[in-house]
Amino acid sequence: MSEKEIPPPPRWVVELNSPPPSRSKSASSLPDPPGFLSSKAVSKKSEQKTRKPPTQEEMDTLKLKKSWEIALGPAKQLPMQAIMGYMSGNSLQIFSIMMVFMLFKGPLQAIAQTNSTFARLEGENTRSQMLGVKAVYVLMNCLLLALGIWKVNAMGLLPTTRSDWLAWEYARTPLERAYFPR
Amino acid sequence: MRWHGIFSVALSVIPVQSLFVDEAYNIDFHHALLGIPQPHSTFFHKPDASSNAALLYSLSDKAVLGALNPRDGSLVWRQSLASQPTVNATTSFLVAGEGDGKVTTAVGKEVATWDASDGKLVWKYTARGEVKAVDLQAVPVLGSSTDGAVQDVILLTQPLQEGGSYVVSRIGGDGSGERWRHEDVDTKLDAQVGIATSLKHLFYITKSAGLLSGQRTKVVVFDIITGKQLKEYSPALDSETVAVDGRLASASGSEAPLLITSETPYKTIKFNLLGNNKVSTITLDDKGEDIVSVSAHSALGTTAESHFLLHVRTATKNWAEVYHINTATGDFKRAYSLPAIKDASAFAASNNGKNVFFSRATSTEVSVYSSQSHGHLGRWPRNVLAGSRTSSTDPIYAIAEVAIRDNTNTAVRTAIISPEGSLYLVRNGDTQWVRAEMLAYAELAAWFDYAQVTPLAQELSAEVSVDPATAYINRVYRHAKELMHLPNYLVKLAQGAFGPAEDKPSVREDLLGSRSLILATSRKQIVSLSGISGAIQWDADLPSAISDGAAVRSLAISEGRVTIYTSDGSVSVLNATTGGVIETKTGTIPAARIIELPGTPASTLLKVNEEGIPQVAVDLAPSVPLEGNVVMTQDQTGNLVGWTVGTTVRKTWTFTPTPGKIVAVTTRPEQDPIASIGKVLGDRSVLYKYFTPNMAVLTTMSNEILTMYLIDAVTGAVLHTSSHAGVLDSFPISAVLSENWYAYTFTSSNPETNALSTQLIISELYESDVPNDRGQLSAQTNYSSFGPDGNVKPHVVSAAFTLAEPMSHLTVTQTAQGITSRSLLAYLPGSHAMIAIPRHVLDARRPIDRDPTSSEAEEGLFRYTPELSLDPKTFLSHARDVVGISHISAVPTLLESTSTVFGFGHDIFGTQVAPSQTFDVLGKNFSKFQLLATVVALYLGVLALRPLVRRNVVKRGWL
Repeated sequence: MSEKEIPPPPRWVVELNSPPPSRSKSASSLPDPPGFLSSKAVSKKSEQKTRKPPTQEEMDTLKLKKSWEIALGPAKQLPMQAIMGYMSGNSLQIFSIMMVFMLFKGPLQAIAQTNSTFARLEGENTRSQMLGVKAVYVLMNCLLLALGIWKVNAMGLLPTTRSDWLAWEYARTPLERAYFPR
Repeated sequence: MRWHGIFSVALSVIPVQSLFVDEAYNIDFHHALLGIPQPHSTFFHKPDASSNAALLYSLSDKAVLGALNPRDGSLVWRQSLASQPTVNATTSFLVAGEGDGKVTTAVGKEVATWDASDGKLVWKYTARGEVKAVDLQAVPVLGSSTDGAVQDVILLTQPLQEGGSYVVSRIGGDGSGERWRHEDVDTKLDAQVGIATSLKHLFYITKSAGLLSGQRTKVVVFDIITGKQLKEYSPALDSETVAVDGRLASASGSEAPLLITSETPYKTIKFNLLGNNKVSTITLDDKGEDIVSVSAHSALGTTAESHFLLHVRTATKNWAEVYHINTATGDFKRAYSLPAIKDASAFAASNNGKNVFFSRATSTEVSVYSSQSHGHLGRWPRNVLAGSRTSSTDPIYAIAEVAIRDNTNTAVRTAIISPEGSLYLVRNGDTQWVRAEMLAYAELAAWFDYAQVTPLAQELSAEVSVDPATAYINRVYRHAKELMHLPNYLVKLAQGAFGPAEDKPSVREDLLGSRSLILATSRKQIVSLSGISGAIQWDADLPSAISDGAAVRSLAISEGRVTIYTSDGSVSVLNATTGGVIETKTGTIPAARIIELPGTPASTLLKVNEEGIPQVAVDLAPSVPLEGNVVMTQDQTGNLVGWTVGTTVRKTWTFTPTPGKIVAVTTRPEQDPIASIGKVLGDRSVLYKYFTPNMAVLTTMSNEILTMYLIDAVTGAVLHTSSHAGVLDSFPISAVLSENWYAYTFTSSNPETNALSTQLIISELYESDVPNDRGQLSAQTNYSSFGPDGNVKPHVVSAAFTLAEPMSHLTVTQTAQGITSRSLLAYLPGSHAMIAIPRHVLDARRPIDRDPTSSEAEEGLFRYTPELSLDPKTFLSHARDVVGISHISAVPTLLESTSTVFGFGHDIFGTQVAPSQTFDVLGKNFSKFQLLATVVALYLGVLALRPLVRRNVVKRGWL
């Protein structure tokens, strides 16, 4: 392609490069329509002052705060799960079975992935504090797990009663046998 | 866990199981039987004057009256004249009028007339006093029924006690009762009496032992219309009569009734035409052999010619002589004789208006002769019914009906009674149908499982006995051999996949396991029936080595052999598959009952004699019973005695109910598996069941008080007692004991209102009344009834239900593992039906006067209601009329859900019961085709969508 054939820039480019002439004095006294920012205003706003980057301590505090939030997350689920468990009833239906499954799968998975969950937030200085956070996280998940066990028990799926072990009980054998004519 | 609770809740939604429409007539079989027809009360007869087709009417020796369709042998209608079929009702009579559409019977002291086309009772007449009918004859009707002439009958009754009088009476055919009567006070009870009718006269014949001569025959002649005695004479006939049916006179109801007598060696026959003093004598040619018997056959119609036939039998030959009577002079003329042949023959006389025909049936052919000349009108070789099990057998009686069309074409229908008790109908020579009437005499039954004798079972047991290496090689060989059947199997599988879910007996047999039922009859026959279809597989007589008086006392089946114990102490062993005799051992110790005990080297047989004393059957096989076993017998006074059996037999205990008498002893079924030793309650705690194989329930009656005892048969200790007042022993009383419960039923009358009520009581036994508690013995694994442990009594919970009608023969369903809930089986004698009542309906723990709590509801308990409705919709026998069941037997099938049930006694009825529904079989509405079609359709859909999906995937990759 040759240089000659460059088409003239489109109109919108020309208009962008050459802003409209400044308004007359009388016009400038008029307020801008709502929502319209005149170039002057824009230029005033764009003058941003550069923020000072946070210090390491600040970052650590921030990360710790964030990790506490994560650690206490399961506890927040607890009331909702409890209500759901109560509402779904103790019969063996697809909904309650799914729910029990999720109640077990979620916390177990979370406990297994504790370290990776907090890996991003861990720092050199906060290591010791993070241990406590992780312990709380595991505890909270155990609470969820306990809720699951309570639910399973309520559904009658735990062998906790005499009838569950009935099959392993045997009848007493009589030492004498009586026979009858046929 | 709560599965149990959910399951029982699901069950309680359907309080009573019902029979599905498509199951009825498919899963059950029924032999509607009459019993063996009596020759004198079996005949072809047109149900009414307008009908063309005759029915075969028969009154059997079990007092069951029935009309059979000669076309297919099906029962048109049936009436049991005694309320239930009775054995040996030989004094029952059946007569039919000429075209008035009724048949009349006499049994005991009752005369009844039944509508010939539908079997409805028209009228009933009961003779006065303590008498029984000994003869019944129809009065010939002068004029037709359209003229208003009614078919009267003449009844002869015999007093039951000495001092009474014989009564001849004419009973009005319109139900108006007695028209006239004549009493005879002179004749003794041991005399032979009989009546015969002619068109105008009635002959009353007595044969009594004279003081000097052998027997004295007296004939009294009455005017049949007025009952006036016309004359009395004593023909010089002092020997026995030869009428075919045991009656005194022959040809009664015809123009010329006869008295025919003879005595061994039957060389001379004496005749008397009744009403005529003259006695004629005829000498028979014995053809060089001793004549064994002579019997006379004559046609019964009023218009028939006075011809009769004498059937003469020697040890090897059968022939017949035909005589003509000159009714005016009383002379007899020998017309012709039929050839003597070797085959056993049965003769039958029949008439078609004036013409008399004699039919002769042998095992190979049927022939018809006119009474006029010896040339046969027709002769047909007998053909066996296609697919029939038996070859044509010797006839013992025959009843014939001859039809002549266009004066040339002769056709004959012959009903033949064979010695083994079957009723055949032969049309010309072709057997049309066979009815196995001997099944009505079944007394004992035992189940034979074909799995015992299949080659596979034998091979497997052989593999167990050899060393593992050989067994392994053997197994590889066996599987290799089985591969040869693979193509066939695949073809069958393909057919099965696309065909509908079949319900053929063969398919059911594959599913349920093939069993057959071996029956022993009171006629000393052994019959094998298929357990699924009820078809007869074989029948056999008891081996001739068994003495004549012996009755079958016990049947046992093991390893493909039927062992039959008879009352004389003998044992016969038959092959259970074919009925062939394997061996016969004559014993010296008579046996009323048999007990089998573990012993060395093999199990020991104990014979219990009539006095109730057990004895080791050393006459059959030497064996020593193991020590420490107890057997229970009933002695002559009805007391129960326990014996300790070892090297010696010692009396241990005696049980005498005070007051009263033991009427029945009920024990647990031989096979009564218990799947769970406790009952799981709604809150998942356990109520432990009390059960022992040593329990027995005794039914005792004294003065309208029924007392039930639950005893421990080892020590005779009473575990529980219950009593009911006002119980009537004329109604059935029945008990059943299974698992940890027993049930019994009785009918009692309220002393104030005299109202009858039938009750069903159920008692459940538990180790303790507290859940999760195993009672005093708690953790013990065994116990002895003799020690302190023996004092432990069960906790009993009972409930009573009232029923709308009496119930008898309680039994319980049986399944292989005992997991399936049980049903109580019973026979309803009033409804002629068999029923199954689910056990959970009869739960003794149902809450009374309140609704169940949620935990009780979870257990499946629902509110107690005293009345137990027996809905006809739930009858196992549905629309079938099942008469005279006296035994019900239930056995497990290969399916845990299903139990095979079989009832016998008179009718034979068999079906399958699934008390908890058929949870282990695909339903009938399961369509294999639909399933396969869905799979194929889905596959095709996937194939069709494949290019589309591929295109989309490619597009997504590019854009």
